[in-house]
Amino acid sequence: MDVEDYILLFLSGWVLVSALATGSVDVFLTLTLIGLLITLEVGSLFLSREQKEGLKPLVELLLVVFAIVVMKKVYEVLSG
Amino acid sequence: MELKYIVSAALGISGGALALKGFLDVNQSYINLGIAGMFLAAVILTLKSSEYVKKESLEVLLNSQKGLLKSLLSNLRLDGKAVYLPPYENLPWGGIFVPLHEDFDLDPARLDEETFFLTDTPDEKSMGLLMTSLGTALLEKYEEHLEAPISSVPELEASAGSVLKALGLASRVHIEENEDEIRVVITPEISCSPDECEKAPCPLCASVLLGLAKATDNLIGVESFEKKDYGVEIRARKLGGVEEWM
Repeated sequence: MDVEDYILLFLSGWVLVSALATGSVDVFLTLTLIGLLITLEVGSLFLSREQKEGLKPLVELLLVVFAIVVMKKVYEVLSG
Repeated sequence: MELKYIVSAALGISGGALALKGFLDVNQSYINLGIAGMFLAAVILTLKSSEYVKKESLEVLLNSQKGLLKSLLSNLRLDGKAVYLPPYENLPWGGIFVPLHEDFDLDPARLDEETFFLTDTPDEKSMGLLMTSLGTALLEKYEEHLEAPISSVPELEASAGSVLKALGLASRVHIEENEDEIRVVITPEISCSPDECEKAPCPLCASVLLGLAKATDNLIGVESFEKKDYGVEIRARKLGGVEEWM
């Protein structure tokens, strides 16, 4: 197996466990974002520039979702 | 059609269907699994590189290339061992100079990217062969990975190690620098025999030695290539900066 196979295996495991273990989409997507960021940080030495550039839109999308989740929670706290 | 497209499409479609079913049945696990499927489809599409060739075919290509280089060098009766030049005005990516005699003299001002056979010299000691493209593509990859020009030996060791490992060419690159002496250990993933590599190296070793010349800003003279249990051990020596040779 190549290094990128191990990276893919880790990320798949992380995402599947997160999907099955969480009861809401908000928490699941936040955990997915964390998994993706860990993968990029740890695996960046073994990923090519094109692969890292390709993963960036996914991170950005999940960051937008995370920002919406945070704003929703803040609104919920403020509105009592 | 490549396997990664088939797997991505299957994951994406089944993920979408599962998420829709979860949404209609109000089942959170299905929705999560559906999104996970679509997410993994995108990741597989991005991460799995498709440009693979078998290692055997690479070895065949490298061996034939090396055979050509070896016969060229023996026909030209070049006795000297290769000298790796750092980048300078005439050679922006550096180069590999194989002198005619072991006791050589080199004037970097006479070299440029157009030169191949260097014969227009005042004496025989300065004659030789210049290769400007061997290993430079890999060196570019190291810098692309580093996102900056290579400026030190640890930088070269880290980026070359990562790139060669990611490409499946070598599992380890280790560089020891002791004043003017340099010891490089490359553990190749492809079969290689370091015969006459002092004169005609493969692009893999050439890229690391060119990187060393760039990192130390010195001419690097190769002393020996040996095959050991842990890989190919290269012993080299710093020969001074380009200005000192001018």
